[in-house]
Amino acid sequence: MSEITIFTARIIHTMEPSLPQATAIAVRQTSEGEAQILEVGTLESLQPWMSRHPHTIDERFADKVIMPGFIDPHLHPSMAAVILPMQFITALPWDLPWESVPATKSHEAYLERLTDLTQGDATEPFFTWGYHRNWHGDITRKQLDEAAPNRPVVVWHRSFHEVILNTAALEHFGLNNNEVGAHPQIKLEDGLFYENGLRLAINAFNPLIMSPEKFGLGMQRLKQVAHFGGHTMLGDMGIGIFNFEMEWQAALGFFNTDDTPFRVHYTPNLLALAHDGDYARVETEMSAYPDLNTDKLFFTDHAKLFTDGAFFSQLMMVGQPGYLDGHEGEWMMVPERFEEAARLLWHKGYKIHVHCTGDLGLELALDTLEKLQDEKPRFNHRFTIEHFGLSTPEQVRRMASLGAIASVNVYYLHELSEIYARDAIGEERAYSMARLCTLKRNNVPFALHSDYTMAPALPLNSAWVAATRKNEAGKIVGEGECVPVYDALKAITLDAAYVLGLENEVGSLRAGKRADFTVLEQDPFEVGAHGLRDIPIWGTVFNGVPHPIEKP
Amino acid sequence: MLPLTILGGYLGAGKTTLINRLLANPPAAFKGKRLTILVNDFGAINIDAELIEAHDGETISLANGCACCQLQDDALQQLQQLAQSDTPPDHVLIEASGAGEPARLAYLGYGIQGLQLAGIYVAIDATTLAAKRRDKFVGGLVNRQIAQADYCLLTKADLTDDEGASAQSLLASLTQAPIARASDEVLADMLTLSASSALSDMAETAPLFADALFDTISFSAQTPLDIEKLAALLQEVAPKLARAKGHTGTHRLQLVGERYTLLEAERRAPELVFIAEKGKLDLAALEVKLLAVKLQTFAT
Repeated sequence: MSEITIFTARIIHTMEPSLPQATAIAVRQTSEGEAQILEVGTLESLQPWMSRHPHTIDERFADKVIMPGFIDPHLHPSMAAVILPMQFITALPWDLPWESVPATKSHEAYLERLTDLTQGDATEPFFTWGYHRNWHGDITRKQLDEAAPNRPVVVWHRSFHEVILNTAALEHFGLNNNEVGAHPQIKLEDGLFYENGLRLAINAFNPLIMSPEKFGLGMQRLKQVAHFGGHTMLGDMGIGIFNFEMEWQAALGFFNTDDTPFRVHYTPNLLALAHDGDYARVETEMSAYPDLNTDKLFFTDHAKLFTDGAFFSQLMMVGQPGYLDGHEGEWMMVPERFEEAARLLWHKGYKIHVHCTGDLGLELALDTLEKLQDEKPRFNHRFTIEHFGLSTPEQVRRMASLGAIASVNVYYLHELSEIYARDAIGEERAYSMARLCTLKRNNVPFALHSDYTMAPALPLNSAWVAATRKNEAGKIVGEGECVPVYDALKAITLDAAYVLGLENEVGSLRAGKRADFTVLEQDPFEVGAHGLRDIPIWGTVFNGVPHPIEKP
Repeated sequence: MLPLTILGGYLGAGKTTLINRLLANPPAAFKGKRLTILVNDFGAINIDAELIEAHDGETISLANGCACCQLQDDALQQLQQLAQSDTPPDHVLIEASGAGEPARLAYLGYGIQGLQLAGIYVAIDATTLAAKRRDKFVGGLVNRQIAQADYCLLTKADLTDDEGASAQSLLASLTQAPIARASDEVLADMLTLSASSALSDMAETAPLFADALFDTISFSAQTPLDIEKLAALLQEVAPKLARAKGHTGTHRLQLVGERYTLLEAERRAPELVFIAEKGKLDLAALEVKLLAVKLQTFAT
């Protein structure tokens, strides 16, 4: 039997109500190579283990704070791997392991930054992500030509739904007049490609952005990002988004390695996998995915569905009285197809995750869940509302009565509440996005997620938004929906594990769980809600082994 | 130019039934020509085995020259390949997703050399129209699909109590596009209509694209226009117009894809809109000619 390691700390927050705080934690490898927590307590209370077994006391965290390892239950590694090799120029600051990206909030500042970054002799195409009209105004081909006369420049919108190219890039990618014709969703004189027009451009970029070098760099960077945020567990909420085989091979190549300090739980994306709408065939395939499991990468019994469109693109389905400008959102799955897929999965016992962004999208999910509960009542079914952008208090009560839970992108509130108050849905509804405290008041468990790169993969940052509801304009909005620090932290640990069905393994610190910790330099309960996002992270302990975050 | 027809309509509207019918028994007017249909749900295609020449994964080739393929995620590339193939078909029909807006597929067709939009057909289920257009989840989508139609195909009328009469009149109140029962004649139309028109209707909902693509003139008068003179003028300019609609004072005008109808209607002040693809028609000259029709009306 292997030796016991006892880590001591200034304080250990276990997220276990029966023993919320401790100062020592004993860890031992099992015969399966898995590091297990033997007991949490103090050096005195751990004596029964110490007196019986060989052990070492590791005091390196004596002045630090240990938390359960952070869990992001919803992000998309393959999508992130496409974006991460690009240069971020963003309205809000982004803290990346290799770079602190400053806030670039005006048209002039955007062009100035772009000019700086494209100086020099480099000739390979320059891709940048993060441009947003609300902050950066209209950026045109002509302006890009002035900023970067020689180097091909591709400006990718924050929402991924449009790109703007300079003349050098149009030439480099062969997107000349003949090729793109008179497409209504391309404005060649402005270098602008969007929606279907964007697909023409993506076809031209694909050989470059999906090349093994670029995509591989993206996967390596995602690994750094995950560690940098203090994660020891990720949820890939929808493998199959590009191509299942390609994504799984990339995961095996980049994440299933000794130097990866986290595990990844995979949820298949039924909508993407069922190209031909044959849900039953895909379900049969999905049921065999757990056979692919490795120690680090694994499937259980989860599946991903969708109701309405993307929140960042104002494609969520909004109930009455709708959007300010009268446009409508979009269904990713129409009611009949959604119900068909949900019924299949429900009767087979899956844990169903539903991407719902607007309140009408949520309504469809709940109407469907109610029908399914009538057909075949299930308990502990973990039907999860993913994103939870807009909702009503009545819908939350209904979630509670039907047993639905939530995984929330609370960062919507931070980045979009001000813009959406003005330009999309008005202040009342914009300020009530992600109504977390209503979930708490109704005893609906909820996790926080990043949907990376929809939000930074920094759990303490998400917890900070949840506890303060401070938006990018510096306003506290919908104050009645703030949650206490304890609940915000539970949402990035124990309840994030609950959403993935992994609460018996991870998410809190107690005897029998895995030895995955996040080590902080400050105590979140001492710094309080407003200090959460600035807490320095020392690193993690993954599977019993310390992994410091490399400081640049 | 390879003509492209879009067939839209909400789930269950009968798109697949129409496609099965087209494949097994193409309209007489289309005999000897090759039709390729790209479908959303390949599995639902049901054709007599004896008609099938080859069946290869996601493509069925028929002895009558038609083919049917699964619409791929990358529909753009698929269309490009068809348009630029050495042996292109005579016509392409795409089945739009029931969850989608057919005009989006029409946009897709715009990016491709050698391809020309022949029109958007939307199938509408007579048994569910009244309920679906008020459905809390998809009412907006169904109404948008109808608004994007150049031609509405009313299906399942025989399953209603009144042979589809109330559905048809409801539909007529929602769109100015021609409405027809899905007959063989209409199916033939789907494959012969040659002018693009649908996108012009997007002018109100999406001015961003429409402005770049279309010229529009509006024309109004106080007294009714001379219908014969107007008809003569329409005869002359129809091939160059994408769309025309409105009221002549005595008739309702509807022009889609080179064909126009003038139906007698309640009298009111004339008001007409003419839409043409940019550069295709000298709209200033048309305006002068319209003015001439108006003056001659005064003279009589």
